[in-house]
Amino acid sequence: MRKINVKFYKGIYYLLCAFLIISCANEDTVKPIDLFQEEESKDELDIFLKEEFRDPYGSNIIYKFVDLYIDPADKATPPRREVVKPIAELIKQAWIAPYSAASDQGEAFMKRYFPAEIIILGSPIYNGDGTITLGIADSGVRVTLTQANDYAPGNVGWIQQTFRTLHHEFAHIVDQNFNFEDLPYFQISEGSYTSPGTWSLENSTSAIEKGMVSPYGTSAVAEDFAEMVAFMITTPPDEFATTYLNQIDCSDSSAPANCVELNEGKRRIQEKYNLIVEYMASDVGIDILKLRDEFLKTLN
Amino acid sequence: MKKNIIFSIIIFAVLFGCTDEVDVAPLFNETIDERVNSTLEEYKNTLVDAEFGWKTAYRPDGEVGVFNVFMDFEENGLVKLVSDFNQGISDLETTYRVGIGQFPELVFENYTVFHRMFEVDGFGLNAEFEFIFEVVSENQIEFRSKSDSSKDASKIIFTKATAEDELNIISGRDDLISLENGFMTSDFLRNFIVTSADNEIVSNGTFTFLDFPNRRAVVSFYDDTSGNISSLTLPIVNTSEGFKFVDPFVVGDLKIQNFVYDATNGVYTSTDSGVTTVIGYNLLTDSADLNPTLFSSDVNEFGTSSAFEYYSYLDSSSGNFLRRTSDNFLNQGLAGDFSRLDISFNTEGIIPDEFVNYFQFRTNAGTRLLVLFTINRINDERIIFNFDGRSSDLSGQSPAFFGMLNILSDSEGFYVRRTNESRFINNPSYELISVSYPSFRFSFYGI
Repeated sequence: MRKINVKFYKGIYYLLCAFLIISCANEDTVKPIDLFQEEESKDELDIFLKEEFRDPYGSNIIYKFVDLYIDPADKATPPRREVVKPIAELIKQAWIAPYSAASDQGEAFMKRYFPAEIIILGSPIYNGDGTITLGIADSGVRVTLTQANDYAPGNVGWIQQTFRTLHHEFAHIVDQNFNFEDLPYFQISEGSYTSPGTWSLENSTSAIEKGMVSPYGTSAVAEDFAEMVAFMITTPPDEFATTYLNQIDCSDSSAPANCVELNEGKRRIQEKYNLIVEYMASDVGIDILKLRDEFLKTLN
Repeated sequence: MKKNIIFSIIIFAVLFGCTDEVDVAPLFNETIDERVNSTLEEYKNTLVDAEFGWKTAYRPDGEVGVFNVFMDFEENGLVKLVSDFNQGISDLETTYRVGIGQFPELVFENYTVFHRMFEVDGFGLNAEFEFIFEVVSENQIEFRSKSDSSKDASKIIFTKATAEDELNIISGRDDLISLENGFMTSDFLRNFIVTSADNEIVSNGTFTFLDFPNRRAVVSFYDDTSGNISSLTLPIVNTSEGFKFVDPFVVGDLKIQNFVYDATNGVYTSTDSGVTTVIGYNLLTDSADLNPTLFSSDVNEFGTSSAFEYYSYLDSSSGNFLRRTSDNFLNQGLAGDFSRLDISFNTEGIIPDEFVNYFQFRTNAGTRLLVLFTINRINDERIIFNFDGRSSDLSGQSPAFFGMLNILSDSEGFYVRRTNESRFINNPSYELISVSYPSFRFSFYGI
């Protein structure tokens, strides 16, 4: 008898639960949301960005200031309107076109992997701790381009520096999508990465001695990889070889005092260089040397 | 039995707990989103509907002057701005957004004058380009700063513009430059003299004004006895007749605030508080006599030591600016558009087969201008620089630049004293104090 009672009560209980779950549904509380309910902008600049980026690449170029894109403790300004279109053109020429030309997928590569959002800021991001940030890649979907207000037609230095940052950030996205096997890469400079927050104490020479192309590259293996990719793409090959690869004759009287250390660092950079060329070709389907040549054409 | 009671209560609760909201009379006929959008639409319409646009007298911080900005909001999301900040060079077209973060807000979305004010001087103006609506009426809108979260967040008030306001702001730019450079004079000593109704001098100081970036005047007083200078910084507002101090200059129970420009005599005059205050050039000398309290034997070694190749003055745009430099000298240099002044002694390589002394002005345009001089050193007293007539091409330099040359070449020369301002062990600091105009003094490094 007791058993029967328990089953009965359980049955009532389950019925009540089911009733509770379905009975309070209010059709009015769940409404479909029209994600594109905002009226399309008739602004000439917005139309250009839609036709050139949103439609073909599914990417929004965001140049109107939204403070949610920066940390509340940080400060930044938006770009001048007049620089947005030329910079957008440069993004096509110096980023999309080189990757499309160098990929075995052609344009399809960037149509798949180009970030969903490009944030353009006019200034650097002034961090609350007094440092500045030149670029950010967030979760593989958003890249932030800074210092747009320093752009001027023919300012090769700005183009090289800005697109070095963009290629650095995009290298993170490539890394996140293709899962670069970083253990062999890490082992090349194992023990030479700096402790958190101390990379800024390095200089370009000490970085090379450690087998990195920049002080920031010493901060972590992922940053080392991104810096390598960015420098390989944005540095003329002769300059890259001279600065980072070619061994110095330490018996020469003009050889620097740290000649041996530099040569060891350059040997490490050469190893990383070879790994990256191989990885980009075999795993990503990108001929990075062709990518470099296509990028450098935009500087001329 | 107990369980029956419990289940009865649950069933009762279930049956009566799901009261349909439609049974409760709604307080509003619109949803929350609709009401928010309606408010934002109303705010935007208020901005757009103003026939002649809006204007604001913006004072982002209590330490700076007042900047006038005219704004014409268009329905298509663009806004035209005209300001008197830094001669209007940052009045760029921008889009605006009347949107909502935590509160309804007005955001200028592309770089324009508000952003320039925001970032200039290391964010020192505490200016803003995101504003939170506080009170909206047909003729006035009050905002508070979005990024300033303090209890006393800075306010900004828009009032409806008249048909003349835009042009008034444009013409006011010239007035500010004239106030700064003294209507293109190469004179440098601008007096600030308060005279009573009995024609007695109540206060006697010097006056300089610098428009960018803080729009502030400085009134300085030289104490002949101690040789010291005291200064008062006074933010200003440009007016159609002249200018006014945001807060009055107070001497005793007198409050002096409003000045009118007298084009005939080239002076600004105030008659506030029943006294006459005049700002003009060369109305009184700064100091007529040598001041022994400023003598030093440091002058004997100045320019003779091989330890220093040259001596450098860096203006306030440098982190190594030496702060004993007087406002009179600093502002004259800033108006003269150079950021660094090097003094070099007995140097070869400038003129073939000759050792020369020279001043080198490093201008903000990136050029270096040399002015050669000979020296007359009076040991334990002072040094006198005599320009020898040779220099770089100085054509095109501003009157303020030539005013600076006039100070440096004054026939009475400079007192020289070593100071303890330098933070560098190997680079001691010195100051030069004009003998005739002791309120003009500057500090520099031995390098």
